Amino acid sequence: LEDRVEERTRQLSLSNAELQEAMAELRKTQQAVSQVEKMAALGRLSAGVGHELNNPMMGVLNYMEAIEAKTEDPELRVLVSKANQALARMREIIKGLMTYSHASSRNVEVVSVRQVIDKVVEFLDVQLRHADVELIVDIPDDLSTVHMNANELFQCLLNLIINALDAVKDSDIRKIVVAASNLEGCVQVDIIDSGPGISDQVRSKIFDPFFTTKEVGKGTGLGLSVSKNLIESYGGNLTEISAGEEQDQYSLGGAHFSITLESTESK
Amino acid sequence: MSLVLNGDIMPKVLIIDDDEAVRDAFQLALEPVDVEVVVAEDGLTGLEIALSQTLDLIFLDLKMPGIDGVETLRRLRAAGIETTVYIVTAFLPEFLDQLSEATREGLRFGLGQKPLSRSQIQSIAKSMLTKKS
Repeated sequence: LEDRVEERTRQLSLSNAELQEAMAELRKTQQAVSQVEKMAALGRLSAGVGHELNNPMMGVLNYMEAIEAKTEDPELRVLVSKANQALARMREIIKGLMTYSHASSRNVEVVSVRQVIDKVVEFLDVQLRHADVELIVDIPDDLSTVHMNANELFQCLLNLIINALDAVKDSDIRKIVVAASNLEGCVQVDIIDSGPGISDQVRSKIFDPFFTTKEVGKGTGLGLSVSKNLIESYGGNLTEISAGEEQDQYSLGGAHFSITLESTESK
Repeated sequence: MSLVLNGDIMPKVLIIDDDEAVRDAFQLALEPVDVEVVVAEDGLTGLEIALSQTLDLIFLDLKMPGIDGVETLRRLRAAGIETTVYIVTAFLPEFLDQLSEATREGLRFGLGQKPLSRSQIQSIAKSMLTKKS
């Protein structure tokens, strides 16, 4: 009997240990779920706040610019110009908030990279013409599709092309190339510009959140880090190609970023 | 800045947006441009104006009480109004989905991201109106 009691006790203590382990696992899962829910709620909140702030922001921005255009008072002009700089920073922060929040509600689909590129180009048409930038879009007819959220790909390409646009603004030659290709089961999109390029000191930090070389108020430093995170979350890559490493026909002397995403045909 | 489309008639621009600050933004920015600005607080009022006057450009908000921007655009086109429409919106995925649907339906429009600055509004108006003429 003693042996049986001992055996039963041993079994019970084993079961107890297993139960404890299962409970700990459950608690961990519950915490993770609650964290995901919190992040999703935070995402919805920040997207909502960002969106609601955009309308009054557009009002204030234009009220200030109207004052600037109407006043001759130099002191007032300085103050208005400072207010405008602060507003531009707020605008970028809101944009960053909204971009981060998008990751929480994604709808993955088969996306035509060509259509997304066309949409981005159409979206930036006015800015490109305004800055007198020559944009060359080179997409083969048989470009594959990818599995991604179309809006997120739109956001990544928009960030990269806006960066290119900012980079070439003050250059003598203002040229941007967006070239797409099928490459070993992947779709590759290259964004190349004729700007000053990326210096060695800056290169290691370009994908860090909140790192920016743009003047105060012009950038949040979130664009590249957000884009890289998004692309990588689909198993793709966003890399910066240093001068000399380029293997294609386009070399404009400026920055070169390359997105690679697995094509749907390779799956 | 001077834009003349039909002889000496001043081009007419309609702003449809439920937010007063945004309507003001457009009006202030377009002051130095030789255009007549008309405003509407919602889609239905915008439609009424578009049906009763000849317009050269329409700036249209997407998220509005009553009928939203895409529905307003749909009704404008259904009524045979082919005036250039420039949709101005914040960048949000649900709106882009709506816009993709509008594109699939063959509705034509330009697209801009809020908040637009004075110079952006002026250059959009200028390029849209010049393209039209």
